[in-house]
Amino acid sequence: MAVLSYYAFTAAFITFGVALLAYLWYSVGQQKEAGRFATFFTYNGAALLTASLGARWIAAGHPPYSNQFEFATSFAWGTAATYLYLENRYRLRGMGLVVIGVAFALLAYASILPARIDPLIAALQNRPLLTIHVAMAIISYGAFACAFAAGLLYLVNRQGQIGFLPHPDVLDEIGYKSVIIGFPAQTLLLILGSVWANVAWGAYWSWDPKETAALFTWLIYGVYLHARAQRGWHGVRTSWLLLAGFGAVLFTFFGNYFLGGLHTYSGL
Amino acid sequence: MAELEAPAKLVPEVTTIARARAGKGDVADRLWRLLCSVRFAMLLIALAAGGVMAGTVIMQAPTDVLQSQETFSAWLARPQLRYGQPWHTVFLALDLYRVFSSLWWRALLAVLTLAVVVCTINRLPGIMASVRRPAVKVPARLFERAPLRAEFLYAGLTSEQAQVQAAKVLASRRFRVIPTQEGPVSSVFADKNRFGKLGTFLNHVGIVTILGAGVMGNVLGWRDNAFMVPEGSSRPVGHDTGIVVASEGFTDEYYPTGTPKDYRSDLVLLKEGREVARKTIRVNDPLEFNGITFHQAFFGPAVVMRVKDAQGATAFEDGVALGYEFNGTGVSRNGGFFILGNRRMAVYVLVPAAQRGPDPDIPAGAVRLEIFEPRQARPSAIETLPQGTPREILGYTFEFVRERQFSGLQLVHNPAINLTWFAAACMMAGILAVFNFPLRRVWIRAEAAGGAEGGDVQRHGLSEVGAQYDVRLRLAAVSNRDVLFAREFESLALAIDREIAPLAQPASGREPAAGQMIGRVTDQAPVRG
Repeated sequence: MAVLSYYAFTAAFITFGVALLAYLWYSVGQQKEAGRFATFFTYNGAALLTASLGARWIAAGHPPYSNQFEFATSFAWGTAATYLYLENRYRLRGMGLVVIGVAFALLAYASILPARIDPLIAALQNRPLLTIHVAMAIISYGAFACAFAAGLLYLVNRQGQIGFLPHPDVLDEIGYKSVIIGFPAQTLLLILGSVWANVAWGAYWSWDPKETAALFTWLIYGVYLHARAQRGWHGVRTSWLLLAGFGAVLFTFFGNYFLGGLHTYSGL
Repeated sequence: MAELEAPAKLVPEVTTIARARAGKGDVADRLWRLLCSVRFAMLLIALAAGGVMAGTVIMQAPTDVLQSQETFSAWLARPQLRYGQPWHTVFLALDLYRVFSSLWWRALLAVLTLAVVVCTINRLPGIMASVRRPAVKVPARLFERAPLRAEFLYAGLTSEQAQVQAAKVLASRRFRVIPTQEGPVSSVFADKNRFGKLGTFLNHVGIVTILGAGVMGNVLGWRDNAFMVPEGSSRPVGHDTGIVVASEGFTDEYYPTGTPKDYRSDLVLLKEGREVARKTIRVNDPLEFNGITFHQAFFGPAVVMRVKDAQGATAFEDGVALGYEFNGTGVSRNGGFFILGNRRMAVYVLVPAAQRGPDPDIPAGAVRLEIFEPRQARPSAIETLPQGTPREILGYTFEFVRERQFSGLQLVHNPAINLTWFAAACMMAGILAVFNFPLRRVWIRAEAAGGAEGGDVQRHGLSEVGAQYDVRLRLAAVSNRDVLFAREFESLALAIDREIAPLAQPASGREPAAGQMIGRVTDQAPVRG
């Protein structure tokens, strides 16, 4: 199973690479046909990644959320899954170049990490909470990656002058739609994290660096939602907030390297 | 973009207390307006985010250091060394080494809470009123300026018939339908998810309650983060609980790689000498009794000591948890202490710290005793005691009986914890309601086609054909740039047309009978990459 998982990971990595090239061809090369290939390869890449994570789950006997390799792979999976949902819902391929680029970069990062299968350390032995808590992280981070892509492309194409990119108004809305997927997921992530911390660490909130970094991310998207819904901000200003928000997501995700604290299970 | 701005004025805004008193300039009104301004709220959230970031990247003093000003001052040497000048002075001046217990952080949270409360009170009556009495009547201009609109012309039927059919379609799509008649004009107002907006109150009440529950937990509850019970010993919980914790054993297990697999303590709780609870606790499985939670938090070495007085009577026999770290003169040791008899002597028991190599003074398998008489800064006796070898010191016979382990527990009593979870559930439910049940409002106006002039009809050069029709049906909605609602609106308009068309007669010179759909249906480019 472990070997199967690794093969599926490698195949997914290559497939996402091909999908990325196809999105490049679709967007920059302006080949409408390439779009269908890009979507096809993304679906396949996501399926292979699902197989890889599933095989790992079976091999390890616990959800594949116990070290940084598994987090990075799952993050890539979440990004691809949210993107496919949005692509399907909005019939929009123009963001694929950036979003699948992010997913591919995460897989590239995962590929240089030790991929060993670790048993669960004592603190993580809470099957239901581990599963849902980290699953929420994956969904929210994936959705925020899509929001980031929408914000970035908006800033690049704010006048709608680049024909092969989606219309700025559409990007503005996709950014918002991504956040309203990501924000509730992140809220649940924080709440379940608190429930778990209350059980395992005896305090539902300890101002642990990972907690505060996640709270920072949550607050940025909070500002975004208020700015957009109540102040009527859109376009350039909200796009910058989306970029800042994803910066905070990456800071939280990679924070294990330099922040220390209670969340340092990554096995690095 | 003028079209996007117009609808806000066409559809009456929700009234708020601040708007109602907009002209008033006294201090209370100004303060009220400030606290309920979204711009101010955004500033507060941004400041909170800045504080959180500072508390994340800048070294924070641990909780035990913050217990007193002296320990905090002593601890400050570490960040000073790390950041150097002038950063250290700046961070210290801004109180950034203890962000989350600083005065400014608490003040910020207090103002934020106040703003949320004021904002809620400000908007609640208006939103409740708009739920109960929606903006059914809108000016006719809305049908020419709304970002989402559609228009159909029919021959051979009355505006009332068109109204009935439109209402039927809307009701079948789970809209609340309010038909009105004003002279010859038949209108329909329809809305969906009118309670969704209340989610924002649920969410904000949840956030305020979480903060309030945090304060309540601190005031009414207590915690003991370093409660140590050696195996085979028992310790009173204190805090007027009358509960005694006894440990029947501690086990730590490891995977072959050395990573921890399991920590568990077999605990028994006693009250007035009777057993009241029993459980093997693990990191993820604490024991709860009478609102107190007993968590497995840490562990360490313990020793069983026996002390006899000059008459041979046992003065002390118990486990001593060696849970403290003592650093000095270049060696690191674990230790604990106990108080002996009537003479109130403090007996410190020390062993070499694990994994720090051999200790120059304490051979393996021995403990070092440092015995302090009351109010003495220096020990009256220092002895190294091998296991199982009694020795007489200061009139007592000390014996290191055996090695054990201790369970490090965290004891928490938080009477507000369930309130916290309830508030978190409210917050979550509120967010889901706001995002998944957005308010949808559609206005429909059916009137005689004769007067069909202006707006889209004129723009499309259809005013002259208007005479051939009897009814002009117009739909309008305010979208807030929502592609999905634009699509829903388009499908709704077409469904209404499909329902009405069979009833209509073919207009002269035009086939088939179906109404003419004109005007912009969506306010943006079709969604396609």
